[in-house]
Amino acid sequence: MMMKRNFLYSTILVAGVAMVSSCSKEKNTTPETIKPYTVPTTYDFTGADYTTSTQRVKMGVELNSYLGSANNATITATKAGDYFNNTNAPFTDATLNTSGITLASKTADATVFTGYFTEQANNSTKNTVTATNGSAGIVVSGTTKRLVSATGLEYNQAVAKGMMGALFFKEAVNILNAVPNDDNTTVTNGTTAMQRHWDEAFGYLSVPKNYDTTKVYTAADLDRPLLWGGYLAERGKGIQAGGVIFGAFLKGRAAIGAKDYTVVKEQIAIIQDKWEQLAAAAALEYVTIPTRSVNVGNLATQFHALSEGFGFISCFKYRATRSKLSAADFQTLQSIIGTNFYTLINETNFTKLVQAQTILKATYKL
Amino acid sequence: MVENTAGGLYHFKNQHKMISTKKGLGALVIVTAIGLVIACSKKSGSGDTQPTVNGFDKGAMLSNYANNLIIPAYTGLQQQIDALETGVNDFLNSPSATTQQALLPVFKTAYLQFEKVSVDQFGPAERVLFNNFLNTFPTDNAVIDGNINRGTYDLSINSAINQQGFPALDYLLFSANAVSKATATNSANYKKYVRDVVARMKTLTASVLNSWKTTYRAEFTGNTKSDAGSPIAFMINQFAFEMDQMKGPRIGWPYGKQSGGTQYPQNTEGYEAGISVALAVENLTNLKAMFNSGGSGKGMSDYLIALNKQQLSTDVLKQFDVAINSLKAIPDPLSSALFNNKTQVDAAYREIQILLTLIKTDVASATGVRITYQDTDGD
Repeated sequence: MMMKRNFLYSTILVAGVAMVSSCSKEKNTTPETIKPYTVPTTYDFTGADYTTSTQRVKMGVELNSYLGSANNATITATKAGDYFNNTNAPFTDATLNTSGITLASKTADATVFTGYFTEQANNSTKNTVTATNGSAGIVVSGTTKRLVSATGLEYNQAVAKGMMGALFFKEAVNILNAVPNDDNTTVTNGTTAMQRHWDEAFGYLSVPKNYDTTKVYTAADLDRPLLWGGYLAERGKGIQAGGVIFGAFLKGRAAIGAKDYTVVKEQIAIIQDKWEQLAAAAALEYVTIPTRSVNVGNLATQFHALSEGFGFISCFKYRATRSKLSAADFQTLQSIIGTNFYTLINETNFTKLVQAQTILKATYKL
Repeated sequence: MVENTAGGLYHFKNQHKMISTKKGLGALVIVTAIGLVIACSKKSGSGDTQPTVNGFDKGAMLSNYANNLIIPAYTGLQQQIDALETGVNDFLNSPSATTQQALLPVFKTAYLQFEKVSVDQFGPAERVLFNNFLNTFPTDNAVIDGNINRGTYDLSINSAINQQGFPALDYLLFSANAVSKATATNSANYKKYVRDVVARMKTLTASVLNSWKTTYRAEFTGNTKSDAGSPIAFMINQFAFEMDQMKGPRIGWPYGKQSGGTQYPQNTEGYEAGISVALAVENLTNLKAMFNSGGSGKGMSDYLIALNKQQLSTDVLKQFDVAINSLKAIPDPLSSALFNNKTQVDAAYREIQILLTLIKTDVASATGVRITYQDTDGD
């Protein structure tokens, strides 16, 4: 019994060493063995700093808030551009105005979004008329007003959820892709380049450093999940997105400290996969809500969901190369959500929306 | 279906036997399995993972619902709509105040029968938006008139839900000028529209009934879980939803509960026929019959008892009776009672609200079902 066990352990050890050494050949000077390390439960790593990510998230929230005000006020594309480019000190949070960073510099397909600003500004002049197919205006459900385009799209949602993809998700995916090739030796201000990049990616998740998946955060919590962080709970509970992604960021960051690159790479894959699945879970819900009998005839609820779905489906453009979503299916999803919303909600049996549901369910095991 | 359930049980027993023969490992597996079961049931309410709970057979409960309540209710509706079609044709062929009066009880019987399937808005009914197409009220009468004048319309598109079904027939057949519309020289469009509405009701009912009889029955009875999308979750959600409808569109909204007291009597269910209270009483009476499965011992009320919620089960059934009786105290037509019988309407509204809370909060929690029909979107 003892003999056997020793043999088994030594095999595992050998395998472990082999894996580590193959990593060290690739990159960095790695010690022969990885010293034991612990994975903390909060993101309290020495020197961890992701201020610029947090600032961009806050900028995004203020931009969304401005675009959303078009329900009741006339807005301009110029002012929206100020938020996007950090010009003319637009932010309520003054530290953002002097931060020296912008949303624009990290946003893919920036002209798409500035185009959306113009659409939303134009629509804001119609915020006192009822929307009809072919004409922008307001749709109302109870006390909730939604400003929609001629095709039913809320452009502020296209921006908010679209930039969650084109900026925050895209940055996180790309940064994590590059992490394995980062310098993890030279320490500047207490951290290596690899650690700083990891932290920057983590910042785009926008959760508190002591994120608690069981806690119900409210607006009263000054340090609360924002944007993606909020969606971990709003649409990601069923797939344990919060625990998985936050846990992987913690584990990966600890592994970088120990130069345990096998684990780092594993965490990168976990984060990218789960984050994309979270976008899919949100997209699935938003192409399903309009088809539920309780919402049929409630244009405000249906269009709002589809507008969010429009944004979340656009996130897949920035998915990791390992993604399970085929190019053809992505194109189909885009084509469906790009259809006039009045057509989508009036279609008998919701053929197109059900097709989108089927693709999302099958691809992402939802 | 009963055979199926028994088969499932047998299979389960067999597995257990096999495991326990492999002593050491078996014990470990069993301990792990028990651990899992406990963990699961804690997470998602009591009795979620097992087909039976404290000897109560959930599969048998679902079979009873399908075979003895839901399918017979749709079958009854199909028969009543056939009878309605005959009655409608009698009226359209010789329209007069007399034939209109003869049609009224036929229409009422069919509409009352609809209240027996209203709670079954899941599965096949959900796929075709059955309740939306058969009972969206108030109707858009201006659009209906426009459809008739033009003679072109598409009742199959989702935006046409408020141009058809029982509420449209209520308007078409029993509004003040119905007889004159049916006797006018250009009544052909009107008559065609009425017949198209009835035909569509027939088609949709046949489609849902057929799905239940063929594919959906097994799907429904074979899934004894309580997670989102399961039959038990569907039913609990629909109990709560129907109560929300009672509190809102059926009684509360016309009464002015959402509009600072401004009343909308014309928005009541079955307004022109003057049968709103009768419909509401039938709806709630059926909801109770569904909740305790007609006293068969195989209903949600019995499931609650198996979950050690005897008191809740009793409370809910009692409150059903209180609420039904409080509704019965309101005289039809409700459109007048909203003004003339406020004491009774207030009392009914209060009792409905109590019942709603019991079902939506306490019953949902006891059965481990999440209420999912309300949009929880925060932004």
